[in-house]
Amino acid sequence: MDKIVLKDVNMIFKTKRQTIHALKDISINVPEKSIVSIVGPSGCGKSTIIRLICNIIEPTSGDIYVDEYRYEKEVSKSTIRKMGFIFQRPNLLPWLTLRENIEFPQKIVGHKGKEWKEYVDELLEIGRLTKCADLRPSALSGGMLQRAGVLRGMANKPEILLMDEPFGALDDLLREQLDLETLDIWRKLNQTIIFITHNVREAVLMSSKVYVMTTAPGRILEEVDIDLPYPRDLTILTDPKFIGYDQRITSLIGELDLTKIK
Amino acid sequence: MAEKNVTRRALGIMAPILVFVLVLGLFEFLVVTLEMPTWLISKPSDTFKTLVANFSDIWPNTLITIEEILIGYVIGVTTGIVLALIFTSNRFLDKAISPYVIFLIVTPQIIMVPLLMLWMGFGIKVKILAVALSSFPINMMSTMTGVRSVSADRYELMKSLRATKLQTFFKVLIPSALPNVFTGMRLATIFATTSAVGAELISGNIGVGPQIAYHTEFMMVDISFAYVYVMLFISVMFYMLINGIESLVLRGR
Repeated sequence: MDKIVLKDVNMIFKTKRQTIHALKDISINVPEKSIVSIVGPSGCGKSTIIRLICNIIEPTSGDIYVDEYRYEKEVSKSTIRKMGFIFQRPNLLPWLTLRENIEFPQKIVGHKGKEWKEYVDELLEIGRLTKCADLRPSALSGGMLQRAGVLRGMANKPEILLMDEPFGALDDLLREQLDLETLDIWRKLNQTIIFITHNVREAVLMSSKVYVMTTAPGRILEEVDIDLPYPRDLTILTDPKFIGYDQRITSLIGELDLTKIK
Repeated sequence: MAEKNVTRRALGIMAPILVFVLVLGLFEFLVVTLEMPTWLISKPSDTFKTLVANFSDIWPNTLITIEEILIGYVIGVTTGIVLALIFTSNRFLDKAISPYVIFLIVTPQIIMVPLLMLWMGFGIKVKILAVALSSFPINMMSTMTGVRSVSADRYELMKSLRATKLQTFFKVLIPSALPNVFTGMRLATIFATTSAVGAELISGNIGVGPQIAYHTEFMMVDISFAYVYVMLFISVMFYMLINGIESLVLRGR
């Protein structure tokens, strides 16, 4: 079953001087409990897609479905609260401790009680952040902040994780480590994940399906099914099939070195 | 290691005190060696003696000035924050008001004192109002900057959680803007002390300002100097008080 479906979604931003066709006829479908990546160069509108799904912005035209519920003018609170949004920068609130940051979504939604508190402890444990739970963000390293950002996205036990280049600002080593940790968490909690990235290898490593996008106007070039078994680890990187996907997607996007575009 | 820290800390406290003592010493030394007349300048030792001897006269005047500063400041800063929140709550209002905020800041509000006197008399109310008037614009501007510079990411976080407007206001907007609010509050202390003394000089004969003017007129320079020291003390203490509250509230950020 498809958890999330977008049908012919268009997004047009109008400013005084120009009209920007940010997204053109985007149709995607995300099967339940799978990881689907959207990869493409900067400015192709891939982040816009998950902002549409999370209803932070509204599409100019087209339909969005989550659990077969079609988005109307007013999208139901319960639908949006099925999702956890994970930002490119950790986006933690500097006046809160790490624990307070992670439980922040629970406070907003009104989840109270022992069960939710214990879940935060569990998340801190998963992220190996228990020891620094009472520190403020300014006292922590970039990798720790990013992990905390991911955990905050999971605080309300969302069925869907929308991850907006969550590890894009980190170095390769740290990124791959966090990718694997994310896969680990996913195996335990089984969310449906949309993963935005500009890194082709990361996209292939994580997902069962990759949408390749291009820019001006932002549109989908191709849908690539990644036929590699889970659980995955870094040995997959040398698998000929993996290398094949990597090369194919990279050449689809062009001769550009995507890691340098940012 | 711990010992080293203690010495470093002691040095951090001692060094400025040492400079203070040195400057006073140099002042004293120059006045004595250059044989400056006592009706022109008062050396620190004389000033301190005068300060102690005339404390019963100096204290009530000081208290009045402090009162004007504190009450006026609290009114001014509160008004500044409230106005800033109102003006930034609406895009049109923000656009309409913004260009004029700078007028309020660069115009010395003290020019209003003679008119205020005409309307309100010579009492302490005029000075409180003058202090409030001059301390609110800078705080308002700084708060507006703070509210406007809350990062879009933080609003998106709240949107993705379907937070209410009130939650966004209290849990994100206010804490995000706080550093700027405090910057405004710190700057406002300078405006407040300046305009308190200024307003006193224009109207009435009580408070630190008029006392300095009065005693200088009669060549009682030591008393004038005593008041100058008092004012110095008040201003520094006031600034440090706000600074202290700031580092307490923003601790750990």
